Amino acid sequence: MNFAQFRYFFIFLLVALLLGVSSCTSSRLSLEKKNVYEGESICSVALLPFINGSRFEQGNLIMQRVFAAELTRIAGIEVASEGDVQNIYRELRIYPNQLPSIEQIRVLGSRLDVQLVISGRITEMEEKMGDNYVNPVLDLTLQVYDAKSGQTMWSTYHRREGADYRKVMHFGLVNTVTQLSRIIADEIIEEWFAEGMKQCGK
Amino acid sequence: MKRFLIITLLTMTTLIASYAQAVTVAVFPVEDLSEGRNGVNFTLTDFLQQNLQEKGIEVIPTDRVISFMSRNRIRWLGFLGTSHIYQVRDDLGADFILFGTVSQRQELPLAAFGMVLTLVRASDARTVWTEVGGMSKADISNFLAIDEPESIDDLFPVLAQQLLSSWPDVLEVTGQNQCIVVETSRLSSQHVKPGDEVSCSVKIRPPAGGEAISQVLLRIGEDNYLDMVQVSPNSYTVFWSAPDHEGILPVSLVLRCQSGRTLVFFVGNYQIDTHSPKLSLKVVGKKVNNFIAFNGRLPITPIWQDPEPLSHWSLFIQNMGGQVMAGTENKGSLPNRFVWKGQRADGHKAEDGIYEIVLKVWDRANNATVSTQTVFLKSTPPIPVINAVVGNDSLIVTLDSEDEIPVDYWSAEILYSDGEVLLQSQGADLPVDILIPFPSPSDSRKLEAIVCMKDVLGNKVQKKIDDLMQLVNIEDDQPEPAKQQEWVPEF
Repeated sequence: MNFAQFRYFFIFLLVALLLGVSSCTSSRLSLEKKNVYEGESICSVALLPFINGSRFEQGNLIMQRVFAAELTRIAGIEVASEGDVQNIYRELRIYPNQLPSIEQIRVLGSRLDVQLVISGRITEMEEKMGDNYVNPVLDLTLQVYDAKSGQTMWSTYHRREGADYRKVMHFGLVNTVTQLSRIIADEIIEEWFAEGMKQCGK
Repeated sequence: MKRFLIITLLTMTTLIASYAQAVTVAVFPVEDLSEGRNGVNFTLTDFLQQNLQEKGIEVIPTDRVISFMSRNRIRWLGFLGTSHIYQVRDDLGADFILFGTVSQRQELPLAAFGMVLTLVRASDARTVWTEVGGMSKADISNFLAIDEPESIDDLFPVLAQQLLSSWPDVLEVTGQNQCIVVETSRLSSQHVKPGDEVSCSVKIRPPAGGEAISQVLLRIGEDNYLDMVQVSPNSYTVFWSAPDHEGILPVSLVLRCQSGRTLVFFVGNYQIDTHSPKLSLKVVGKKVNNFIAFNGRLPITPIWQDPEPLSHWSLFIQNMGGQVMAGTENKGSLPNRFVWKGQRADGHKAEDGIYEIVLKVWDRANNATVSTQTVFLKSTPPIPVINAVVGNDSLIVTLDSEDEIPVDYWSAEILYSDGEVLLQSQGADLPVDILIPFPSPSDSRKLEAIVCMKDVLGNKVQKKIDDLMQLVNIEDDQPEPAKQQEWVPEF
């Protein structure tokens, strides 16, 4: 192997190494199906107030707003007004950090005319300081209920860090909690569709 | 000809575009979560308003929006309920409502800004456009760091522009037909006894200019329909008696429209409960003469035969005269265990005697059950009875107890006044005779006795007798019954 060949081999090795490093992302997305949803395509859902189990202030609201926006934006799903959900919560005397009963979910679903009801719990949300960059972390669990029966259909757990999306050096890094929330929301919605949830109009 | 066609096409495109954006948008004050749950960001609100105006969109002035919010007591930002959305259209004349939420806004450790924008059509309360974005200083790396943002003030215009770049070219003002909104529904009570009155009240908002509602019904169970009575505009109520049979009945609001369409809204279930709660009381103590006896600490455990949720309960302890010594009550479920420390409500010890523990519980339908248990409080120590008689060659000391509570253990130590132990004895049964050999006549020391007793409840006593022989003397000194001196004639 002459010097020119060695140089090309070295560059190839370096590129392969960088690509290898960049592909070491650790997506922790798990979906547990408790009941198979045999309904029609999903066009309307209601999001229950998310519960914040993290120390990140308003972390639940951030994720809830982002998730509602992404459901509409990428899946074309109509999300029931948060104001309507809160009105029913007040009426049924459900505390914001409390999950409604099966009967209460049925009332919610019927009143809001939705097919699914989704609840969420943020278990970890923080912005870790890395070497001259911020590494946001988000860990959450979502429960999907059938609005008619009130039964739990799916349970989804997902965890991601901003550094998971690193491609080369600092390229690809996700630097904000909002951006990470959006990516996680997209990944969860895509997973739901991949696992059998029918998209509205299809 | 070609030029004419191009000009015509451009004119038409411009007209269509200008028509498409000839809409009125109410930009609600932007919610700023970085400032807490009630944070508001007027800078960003103004920025969004200006940006929309530049697109040729008519924007409702902020003071009118805030006035609307105060009139309707809207105390939150970032969203509205459907009724309020319709009201925005009616009161402010807005075709769309733009909601904004600042999800993060921080300078340290790196400047970062995040935002969610949502555009809702006021005619049908549907979301027609939404965007989410987050941007950090680290996201923008320009050549030689030219024009790189330094703070969030530099970031937010960039992010807002980025989000607004996907603003729809055409906004359809007219959406789907307005739906009927059930503003409130109340079913009370959800747990009843047979014959109890149940009521349901609803308030609905019929669509403005939409199909009229011809009948408002309440469906109870599968096929029992009740006409609801209008008590005020759009408010309906109905009362009925719960049936005699036990069960859970679903209640739904049925709205029949003039078009023949029927809308059904599930209101809730109500349960007819014919049974009282089934539970008993278990107390932990010693069984003495058909009573549970204790000496100061009595664990009381409710035992459920068929557990069910309770609305409230009360537990009190009364003496045989009916006087309440102590008690407690609360709403909700029963504690797993109570402990009575043998004290009255004022903290003083209750007197020894028989007491009744009364536990009364009410289930959610107000069916009540009373469970009682009689106990015997004995917190005073046993009373030893010590007698001595002189036998042939020994002193016989008889030990006994005056108490009804059996003695669990006793011990007796007979010793001289200088401490020399003459005899030790112990046992569990009473009465008992202890034989003490007579000391030699030359011995002038007194005989002492120390007697200990513990009853089965744990009450203990220790009694010291300084001169055992005195007991004998006392018996000797007792006056003999007066002898009859003369005959008394019977009559």
